[in-house]
Amino acid sequence: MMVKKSVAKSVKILLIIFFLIIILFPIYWIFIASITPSKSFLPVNVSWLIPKEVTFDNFLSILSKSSFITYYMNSLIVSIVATILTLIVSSMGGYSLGRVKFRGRNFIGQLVLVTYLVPSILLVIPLFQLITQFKMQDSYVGLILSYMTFALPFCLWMLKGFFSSLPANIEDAALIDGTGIFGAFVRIVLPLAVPGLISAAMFTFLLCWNEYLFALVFINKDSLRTLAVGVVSNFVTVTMGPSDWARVMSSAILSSLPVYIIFLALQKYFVAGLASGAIKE
Amino acid sequence: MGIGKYERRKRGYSLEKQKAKMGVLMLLPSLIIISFIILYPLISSFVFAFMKKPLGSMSNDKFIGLKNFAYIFIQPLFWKSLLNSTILTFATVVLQTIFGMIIALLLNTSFKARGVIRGLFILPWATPAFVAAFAWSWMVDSQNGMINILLKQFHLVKEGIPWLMQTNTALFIVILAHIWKDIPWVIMIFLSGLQMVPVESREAAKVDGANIWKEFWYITIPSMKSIIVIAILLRVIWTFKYFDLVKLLTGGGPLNSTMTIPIMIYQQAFESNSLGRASALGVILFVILGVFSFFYFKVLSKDGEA
Repeated sequence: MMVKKSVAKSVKILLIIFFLIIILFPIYWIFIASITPSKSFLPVNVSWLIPKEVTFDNFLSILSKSSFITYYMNSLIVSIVATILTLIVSSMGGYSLGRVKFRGRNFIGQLVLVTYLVPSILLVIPLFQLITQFKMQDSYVGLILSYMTFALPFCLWMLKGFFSSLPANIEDAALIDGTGIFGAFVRIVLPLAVPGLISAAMFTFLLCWNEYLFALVFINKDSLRTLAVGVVSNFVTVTMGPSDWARVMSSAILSSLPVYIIFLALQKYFVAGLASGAIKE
Repeated sequence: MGIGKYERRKRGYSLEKQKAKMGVLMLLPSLIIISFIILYPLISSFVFAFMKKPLGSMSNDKFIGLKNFAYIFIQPLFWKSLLNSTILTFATVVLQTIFGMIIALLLNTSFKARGVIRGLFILPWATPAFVAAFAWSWMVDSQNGMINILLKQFHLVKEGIPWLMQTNTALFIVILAHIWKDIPWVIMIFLSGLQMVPVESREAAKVDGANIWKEFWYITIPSMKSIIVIAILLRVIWTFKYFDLVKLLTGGGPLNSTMTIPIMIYQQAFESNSLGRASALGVILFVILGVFSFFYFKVLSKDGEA
């Protein structure tokens, strides 16, 4: 029995390692490409699995490109502003949908869920027209507003679930004191909702940081491009030599870094948010 | 003592009313923004679908009834895209569900450094789509890709296979990349679902001498049924409408072999400059997704009652 158990355990550990390698390998493979000196770049072979020579020249070379820094800053600005705006608006809205009783609340809740499922590829066409009409093409404002088309319904839905799971009547004492419901929301409910707000923020930031379609369609000026569009349209060419590949791979690693750090550091909020965002009614 | 029953009720009543008023006020910003950036555009795209609407100038717009739809339905490319989208979605979601469940079951047991390892399993999902596209293009690169290097090492092929450039292999790689990108989501949803499997029934099953398979089929699966259905429906919706990864990997090529509905919408709108036809395609996509969304709502509300 003991032997059988320990065999089962080793099999289990081996399987976990096997799946982990498969999951991480594509990322590992571009990471290797990014730290390999470009002179020893081609041809690639099995010996690359463990690098013999490590260099950070590719990273330094991409970081010295002013266009890359510009894309990086654009991505940061757009993602951070969109996240903050969405959180401000959706924390109030989510609170209202989750904890305040009024007529039409259920209907609006369902409407939010419907808007959450509307595909971006459908919205991009009328939004293109709207953004052109209001002269918001090639602007942060247009891009941020378009990011809110997916961020806002998502956060509303997620925070609605989160607020309604807080204990009943927590704001009553403040209400009797005459603070008013908005005061109660700010002083009592929001502090309790910090975990929910953190996971909403990290999801929103990730969705915005990784967005590609709207950034591709609404931005033409190179100086306003975000990372995904900038790197793909500027650094990837048909005639790429080894050093170009190494640079592209370094830019890919650098572009993933913020979200990797956020998700590894705040993992516990991620799991809770995932469950409440997708499943809870 | 202080306040009488009547007064308290009156006060409670006005409190409720005041609360409701403030609640509506707090919801207002969300509603205004949603109306402006989602509902109004959504309605316009339904209107556009019945219009001839070239990109750029609005002065040439005119209503043409169902002509956009008629045009789309006679395009062989539309049927090909529909088929590709269906194959991509079906294959991706089936394999994500199976492997997602296996990995979730493995991760649900106790082992060393569990938190860190679970965290590492999330990474593909957090990876930006363009990085995922680089990673997979690089993985299957005919010279530098690990897949071809291994195939050559074991003398299965002499020359590396240009996986993404051949019409008969490109869709296969696109599917692999999609499975890889979003399987963490499925794993995490299943992991949280596994927490809901009642411990007592598991232990009871063990006492009854049930083996792992029986425990899985008769205890785990039934108590996770609604989570599995919800995860599958959401995955179907998201995979079917997902634009970025296909666009970045192949752009629909080579020779339209990986053309999907979202890519076709993009091409109609911004390459063929026909916003009308693109919107008509978008409406078709919306209807297809609507069917799955309907089932999703049904499962959610049933779940809520239980």
